[in-house]
Amino acid sequence: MSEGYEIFERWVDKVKPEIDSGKEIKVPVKSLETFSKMVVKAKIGRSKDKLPDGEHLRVVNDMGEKKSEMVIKVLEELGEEESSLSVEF
Amino acid sequence: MDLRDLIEVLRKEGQLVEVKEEVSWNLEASAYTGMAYRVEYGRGTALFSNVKGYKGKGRILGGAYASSRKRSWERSAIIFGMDKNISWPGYRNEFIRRLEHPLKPIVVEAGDAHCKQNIMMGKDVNLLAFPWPFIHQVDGGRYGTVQTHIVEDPDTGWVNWGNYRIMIVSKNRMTGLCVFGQHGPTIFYTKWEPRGKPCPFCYVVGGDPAILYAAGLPLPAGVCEADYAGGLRQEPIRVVRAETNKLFVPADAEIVIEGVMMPGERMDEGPTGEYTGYVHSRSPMPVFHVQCITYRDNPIFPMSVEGVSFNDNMSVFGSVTAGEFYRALKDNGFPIKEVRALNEASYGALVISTEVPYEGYIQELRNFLDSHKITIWGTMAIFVDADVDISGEDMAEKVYQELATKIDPRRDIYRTDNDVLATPLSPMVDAKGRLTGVGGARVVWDATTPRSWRKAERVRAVGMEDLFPEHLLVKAKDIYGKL
Repeated sequence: MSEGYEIFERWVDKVKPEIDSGKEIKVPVKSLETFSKMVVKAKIGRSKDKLPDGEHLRVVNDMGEKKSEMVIKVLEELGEEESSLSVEF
Repeated sequence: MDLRDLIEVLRKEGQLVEVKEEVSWNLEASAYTGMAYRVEYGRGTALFSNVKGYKGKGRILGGAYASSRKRSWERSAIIFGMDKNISWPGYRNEFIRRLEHPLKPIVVEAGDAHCKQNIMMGKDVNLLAFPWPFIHQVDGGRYGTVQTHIVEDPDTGWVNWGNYRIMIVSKNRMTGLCVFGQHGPTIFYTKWEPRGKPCPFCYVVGGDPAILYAAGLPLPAGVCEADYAGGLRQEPIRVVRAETNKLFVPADAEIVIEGVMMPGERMDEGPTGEYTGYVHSRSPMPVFHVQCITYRDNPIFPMSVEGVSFNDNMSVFGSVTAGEFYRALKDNGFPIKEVRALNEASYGALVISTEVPYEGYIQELRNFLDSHKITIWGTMAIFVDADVDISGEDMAEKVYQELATKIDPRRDIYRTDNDVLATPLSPMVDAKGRLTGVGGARVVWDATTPRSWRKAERVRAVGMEDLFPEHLLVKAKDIYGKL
């Protein structure tokens, strides 16, 4: 198990329905071990009950303040081409 | 001089501690550096030579440029080979004299360039092989806070060197703060990106410490900061051709990162603690794709812990800002006596002592201030009378006294009526302004005595030198040892 991951709240907000329905999603996260960033295919649960084999996911706002804790199961780390998720202005 | 020479100079001066115990790049090195700033009242410099997971592969140097708050030019004087006890006016005059004699860099072969000792190319590139520090616990990633971005204007061939923070994203990608109005990012946004072309860049860590000062100067477009680094050093900077593009980089750099910024691509940059003392929020910024890294053996990563007083960037840019603005005002004929950056305000407030030779002069001075690029970093300016000595270590006390006693709020406070360009790092600009740099404002506190007052109406100061005769001051000094 790794130290877990961090994600911006804004990305979680975009995929709320998918999270609630347990679907696979594609989101940018930060590793809390190397502090590198990556886009991953994953499932996210709101608690350990929802995703028992998931890892810790810290949800932060744009100022880096922790807003909540969730659970993530990373299915695949995507390569550079697929990682170039352009963010909105 | 390069960063390694500076380390030896600081060691001899007793201003450097080498930490040989294992220290983590994950918050530990920055916490210790921040505490060194505090305990040493600014002068603390720590070389972390045993970084966890990176022993022999890289070192972190915290506080290489840091001075004391009261003598914020002291470390700069050491860096430029001046007497460390030099006064502010002495330092400022020498700094300006050197800037007036820029020197073109000299090109050396790769075999003579320390930065080419090791090369990672293509698929072997790995930014995570180096101990980039994770500095504040709110940060969006591991950061480089002391380095220089080099980019070329594709139309004119002008090459710009500037200081902008970078955030390590992965083995071969970075992002960084790219603000409209600053030369390097503006070249990308207005010249490369609209044409859909990748913009070649180099990011340089280390080399001659003079580079950081030159790259932070508000120079006009079309001139290269490398020439001014040579001027400040009084000998040309050695440069060498990059491996994957035609840019030249400092030959004595610790690490050179080469690559391209891709048009139309953005990613999350930040948040991170900034020099203002506040967190600068996440925002979408360009992506730097790294194609090559050249580096010295066991490279050194200078680190400034932003937001913690009194740090490297405050020391460097406080003195650069004041020195450069003094030069600009003098060149334009303003009868000013002194310019200082109020370091207690994160160098965001300029203090100018000046004569007021005629009615309307203060308006002229305000107009000049608003038109100068340097004021992007400050939302505030304070004018004081020429007989208020702001050149010493007690500058802040004097300024606060002038502010508290000589400002008539109905008459002496001026604010800009329209938006002005501001640093997006400023906590006073709104979310849109943090992306664009638009939406700033400026205030001037004019504590000079109104020109219209007749001589008999003017106030008189009551400091020691004002009210006691010279012979009595000398006698008192003898008795008490100091004044």
